Amino acid sequence: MPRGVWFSVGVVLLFVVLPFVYGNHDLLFSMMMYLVLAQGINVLFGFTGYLPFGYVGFFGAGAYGMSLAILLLHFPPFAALIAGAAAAVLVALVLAPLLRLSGAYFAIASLAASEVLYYVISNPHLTSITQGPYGINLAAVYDSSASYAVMVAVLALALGMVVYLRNSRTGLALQAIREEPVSAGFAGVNVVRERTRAWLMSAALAGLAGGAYAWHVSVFYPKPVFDLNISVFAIVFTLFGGVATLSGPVVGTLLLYGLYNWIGISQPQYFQLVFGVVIVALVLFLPNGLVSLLRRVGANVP
Amino acid sequence: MSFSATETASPLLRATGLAAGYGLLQVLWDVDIEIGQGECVILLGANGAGKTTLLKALLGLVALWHGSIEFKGRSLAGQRTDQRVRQGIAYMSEIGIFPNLSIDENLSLGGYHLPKRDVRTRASQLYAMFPDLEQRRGALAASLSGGQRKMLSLAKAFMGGPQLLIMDEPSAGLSPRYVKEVIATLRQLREGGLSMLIAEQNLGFLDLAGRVCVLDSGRMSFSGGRDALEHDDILRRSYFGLDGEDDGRTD
Repeated sequence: MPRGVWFSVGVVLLFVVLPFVYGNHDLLFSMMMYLVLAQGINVLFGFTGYLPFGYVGFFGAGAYGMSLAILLLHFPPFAALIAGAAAAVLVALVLAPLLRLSGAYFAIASLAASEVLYYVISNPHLTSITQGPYGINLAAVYDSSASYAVMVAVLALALGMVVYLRNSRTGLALQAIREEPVSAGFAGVNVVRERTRAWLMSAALAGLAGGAYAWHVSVFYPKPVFDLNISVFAIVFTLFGGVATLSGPVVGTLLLYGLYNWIGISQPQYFQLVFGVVIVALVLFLPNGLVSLLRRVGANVP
Repeated sequence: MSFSATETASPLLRATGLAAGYGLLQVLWDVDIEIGQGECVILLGANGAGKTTLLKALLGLVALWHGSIEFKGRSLAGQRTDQRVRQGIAYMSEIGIFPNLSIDENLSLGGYHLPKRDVRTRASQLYAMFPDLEQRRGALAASLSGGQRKMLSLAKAFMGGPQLLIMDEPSAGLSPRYVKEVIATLRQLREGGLSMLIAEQNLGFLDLAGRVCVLDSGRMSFSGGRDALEHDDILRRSYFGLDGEDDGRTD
């Protein structure tokens, strides 16, 4: 059995069982959404080293792809969800040349690209197609338990993707690209193809999460699905837990998003303070994330 | 002016009329080089003579301005580095290893294009050759000493079962003891039929050479046997920096 399978099964089962004992299903849904986004960041940043600050662009593309497939093409929700993922992948294909940039240049360019997407979609002149700034209303297909179940499936897919990368030569090749792209070429790795593949996989995850989110909330404005904070949260959760691991992003999301919901909404000023201190401490003392602590004492973490 | 090797039936690698450079700076001028099956060619040249550029051009890391490269009789034009590697050219250089991956992972990346089964067999063969590495196979490559890294880099380059091993200064930064070890390992590989092209400054490597090529300011100024080299003024001037008499050499 590949490493991490049981861990993934445990996480998925947790979200299958929790709704029966815990009433705040919206919180559970958002938690899963961030778990998926954090693993999506992990696939790209953890394995290939590209940090996409504009990651939310794929999420928004997924939300709008899903919604417009329902509103304009009258797709049933499940097919529309695939259309949402396809929209995110399409955006990623168009943006694939950004992968020629590296480091901060890539991060900023991807951020700019997600802003461009936001302004296109929220443009009042496109109201007849995208509903422009007036937002989307999917009340006709609203189904909170089906959309919850879909997010559980997307979570399972995200975890499965990382389990695969952690145990396969493809994942190793991606890490080689992260370490040293030129040397990866000497190892016979087709650098451009592999990193593009990771980029598309990562985008597909965000697109699926965005689609499931759109279905779950069913009424939303363009701003919240293109909110930079979504990128920042997913990135911080991933880094906090530890990149290029399976458990790191999970642990990071559960702890920090838990903290956010505990004090972030009632006492945002304290949350900002704690959040800031956590990030500084992380960068200074645990650059490889929380799970690297366990590794340091010799534990075999997935 | 360029020299070519004595004609063999069909050289493993044949590069003709190579010109390459960076931006406006031309580094290689009409360079020819051939490497026969099982032959070991040592490439000498002063710093800045274009050795690394030539090796990179052979691997497709530097774009050619002119000229052509054939490997096993087929043109390499338009092929990416990873495609050349898959055909049997391996490259070993300073940056060849991944410090944040384990020794095991480094080795299996070396055999990335091989079937999984072969990776395991080859890895165990190579561990037998490099017992130092086997002891620490789970450790990160960053924890290895300079000499061990060089060995890992060599093992990794050899992992994919190349027919031609191209090396850029395998002795750089190594103590004399390790240099001897590297040379001994290379001799072993050469006896196994591996062809090699080694850019070096360390003359100890000349013992391995079937043939020596000398690059001088981006031009191939000598190609021939070791014995001929020892009597050649061009080498003394270009490599050892000794000023010879003017013999009408043009730049």
